[in-house]
Amino acid sequence: MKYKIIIEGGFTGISRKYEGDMTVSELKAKSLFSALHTDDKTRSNIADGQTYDISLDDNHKKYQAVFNEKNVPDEIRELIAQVKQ
Amino acid sequence: MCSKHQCYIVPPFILEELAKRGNIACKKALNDTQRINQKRKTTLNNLLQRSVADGNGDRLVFDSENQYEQRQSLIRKEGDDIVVDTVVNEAYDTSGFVRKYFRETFGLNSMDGNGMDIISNVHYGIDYNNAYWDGDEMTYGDGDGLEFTNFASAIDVVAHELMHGVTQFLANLEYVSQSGALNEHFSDVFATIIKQKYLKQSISEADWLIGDTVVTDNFPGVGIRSMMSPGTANDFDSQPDHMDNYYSGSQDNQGVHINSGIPNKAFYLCCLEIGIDDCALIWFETLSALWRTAQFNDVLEIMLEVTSKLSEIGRVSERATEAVTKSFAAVGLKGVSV
Ligand SMILES: [Zn+2]
Repeated sequence: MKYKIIIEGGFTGISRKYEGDMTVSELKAKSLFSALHTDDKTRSNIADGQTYDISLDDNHKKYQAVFNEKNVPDEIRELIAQVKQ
Repeated sequence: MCSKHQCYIVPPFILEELAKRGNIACKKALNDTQRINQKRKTTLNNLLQRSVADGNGDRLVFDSENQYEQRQSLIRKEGDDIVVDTVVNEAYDTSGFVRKYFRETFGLNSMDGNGMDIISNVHYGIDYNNAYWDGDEMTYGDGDGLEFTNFASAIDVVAHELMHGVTQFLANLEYVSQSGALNEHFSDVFATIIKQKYLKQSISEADWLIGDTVVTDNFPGVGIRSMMSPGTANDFDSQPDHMDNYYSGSQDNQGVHINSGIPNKAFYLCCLEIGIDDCALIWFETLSALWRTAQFNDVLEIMLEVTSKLSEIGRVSERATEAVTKSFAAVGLKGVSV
C-alpha cells in the first residue's frame, strides 16, 4: 500500500512529509481505509495543533483525509508511528 | 452604549465593525460569543450552564501516560509537594512562573482574568513533537529524542501556550491568516519576555530565541524561531522579517507560524528602543483592545493609540510612540501617528 502523510503546523511550524510503500494485511488495510472515513473537515481552532493529511492507495482504493489534533483515529496514529521509524 | 445582552443578538459583522470603532462592550460580547460557539462545536460540556465563580488559577498537572488522551491521570495539583516525575514538577513550576508574571505585572488572574484552572497534560502520545493549547488546557509531548525533547519543561514553550489562553480571552484572534499570525505573535512576544524574566537576563544578554531548549544537538538549528532574526533559527525556518516577503500560501493555517516573524521583528526592534517592560505593557494593552479578525495594520493603529495614551500618563517612555512607529516601519508596516 502506498502512503503519503503530511503533518503541518504545530508549535514548531515545521512540516513533515512521509511517503512510501508498505506491506499490510487485507484486514489492516480495511481498518485504515475505514479510519479515513471519519475525516472531519471543520477547521480546527486549536492553537499550535497539527493537521494530518493522509493519503492511502492500495491499487484498488484511494483514500485521502485530513485530521486535526483532536480527531486523529488510533489506527492513523499507529500508522504515523510506524512510518516515522 | 452596547450592553452585553443586546450584543448577543447583533450579527457578528456588525459587532466587529463596532469593535473596530472602539466599542469595548461589543468587542467583549463578540469575543465571548465566538469563543462559546467554538466551545459548543468542539466539546459537549456544560460550560454555559455552569455558574462562573472566580478561581485562584490553580495548577493541575496530568500525565497522559504516552497515550493521546488528556486528563488521564492527575499527578500534581496546586499546593501538592513535588512528585517523582521531574517533567510534572517542571510543568507545575513554569506554569506557576507565568501565572505570577501576569498577576504581578498586569493584575491578570490566570488566563481568563477570573482565575480559571491552569491545566497541563504532559507525556502526551509517543515521541510527540509538539505542544498545544486547545481552548481549555495545555498539552505537551516528550519529543522524539532525536530532534526534539521535553516541551513541558521549557519556560518559553509553556509561556507561549499559556499566552494562547490569555489571547483567547482578551481578543480571541481567529487562528488563520493575519489574525492567526498575530495570535502566534503575541504568544512569542510574551514567551520571550517571560523567558528573559525567568533567566534574569537583560535584552542584550538574551538570545531572543523561542524553543532553544526543546531542540537536540541533532536538530539543524539553534531553536524554533528567532525574534531578533526571523528566518534564521533553523534550516526549516521560513519566517519573513518584512512585509515584502509576506507568505500568502495556504500552509500552516495560511502562515500563522510564518508571518508572525514580521511583527516579532518589530517587537524586538521596539525593545531595543524603549526596553522590554515598556513594550510588554504596550503589547498587553494593545491585545486587550483587539478583536477576532484584527489584521497587522489594525494592530499598528491600535498600538499607536494605546502608546500615546500610556505615554501621556507617564506609564511608558515619552519616546514610545516614535519607537513603535519606527519599529513597524522597519518591517514594512506604516501607521499614522496619533
Ligand atoms: Zn502558538
